[in-house]
Amino acid sequence: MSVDMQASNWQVYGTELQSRLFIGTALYPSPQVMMDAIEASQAQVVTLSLRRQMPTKSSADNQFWNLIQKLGCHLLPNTAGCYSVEEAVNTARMARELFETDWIKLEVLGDSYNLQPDPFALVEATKVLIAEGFKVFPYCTDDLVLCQKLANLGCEVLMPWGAPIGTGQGLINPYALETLRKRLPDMTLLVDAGIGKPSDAVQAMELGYDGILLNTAVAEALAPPMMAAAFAQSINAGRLAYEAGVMPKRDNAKPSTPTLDQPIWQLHD
Amino acid sequence: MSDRQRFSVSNQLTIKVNGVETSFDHEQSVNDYILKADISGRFIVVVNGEVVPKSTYAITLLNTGDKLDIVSPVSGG
Repeated sequence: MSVDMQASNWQVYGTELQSRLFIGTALYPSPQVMMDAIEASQAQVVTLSLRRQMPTKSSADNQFWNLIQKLGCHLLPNTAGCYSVEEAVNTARMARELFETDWIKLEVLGDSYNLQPDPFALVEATKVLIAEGFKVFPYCTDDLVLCQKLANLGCEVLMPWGAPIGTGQGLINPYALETLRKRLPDMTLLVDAGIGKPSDAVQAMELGYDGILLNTAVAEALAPPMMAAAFAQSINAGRLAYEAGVMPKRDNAKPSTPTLDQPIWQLHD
Repeated sequence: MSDRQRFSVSNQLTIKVNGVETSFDHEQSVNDYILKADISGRFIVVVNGEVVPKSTYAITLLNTGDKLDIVSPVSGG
C-alpha cells in the first residue's frame, strides 16, 4: 500500500487549502528573506496589516505590497494593536476595503504586557463583524467557554494562543488546547501565537489542531527560509500522525519483539 | 482687508493628514490631495474614520477640521 506523504487538504470558510501553515510577514531581516521564507514554508495564507502611510511610487510600502502580490497567497489582514471593540471593528472595515477580502484575523487586546486577548471585547467585535458579513478568524485565549461563545456566534475558525505573541514558549497549557479539540470536534482550530520551534507545532498538530499560524519563530531564526521549511515538514508530520492515530500511552512496558521460542532455552533448562 | 484677502481667508483649509496638521489656501477634494501628494499604489482614503469609496474621490470635498488618513498595507503577524 502506498502512503501519501502529504496530509489531507482542508478548508477554511469554504476555501480549500493544502498547506496547514499560515505565516506572518513581519520581522524578517529583509524583504528578500521574507519572500524566501514564505516560499519555503509552502504557506498559502499570509497575514499582514494596515497603517497610516503615504505610499508613493518609490516608497518601501509599495515594495512590500508588490512583493506580497507576487506570492499569490490568500491574504489574512489583522487588527493588531487594537484595544477596543470600536478600534477593531473600524480597522476590520478598512482592511476589507484595502485588501478586498472579508477575512479578518480579529485581535482585540486586553493587556499590553502579555498581549492577551480581551475575551469580552472579542465577543462583542465578533458579533458586529459577523453581522456585517466578515469571515472572522478570532485570535483568542484557550478558554473553553469563550471559544464556545465565538463558535455560537458563527465563527467557523478559532485561533487560540499557545503562548503570548512573540514569546516562543510553545504550548503553555496543552490540557486546555486538548479540551478545546475534544469539546469542539467540528471546529477548525489553529494555534496562533507562542510557537517557538517545530516540535511545538508537531505537538499542536498531534492534538488534532487543523493548522498553525506563526511569524516570529521563522522571522527571528538565524536562517528564516530553512526554519520555514522545518515548520512546513513538522506541521505536515504532526497532521499525518494525528490522521494515522497515535497509540495510547501505557503505564507498563510491553515487549515489541516476540518472547516465545527464544533460542536461549538451553540456558534456562 | 481687501476683497482678495477676504476671499483667501474664507477659503483657507486646515485639516489633519495622517495626524499632521496641514493647510491649503484653496478648496481641496480628496482627489486633489492625492494628486498633489503624489500618492500611488495600494491605499485607501479614510475621512473622519469613514472609508471614502474611490469612485467619489473627485466629489468629496475636504472641510476644515477633517481628519484625512491614507492607509496602506504593512507587514503583520
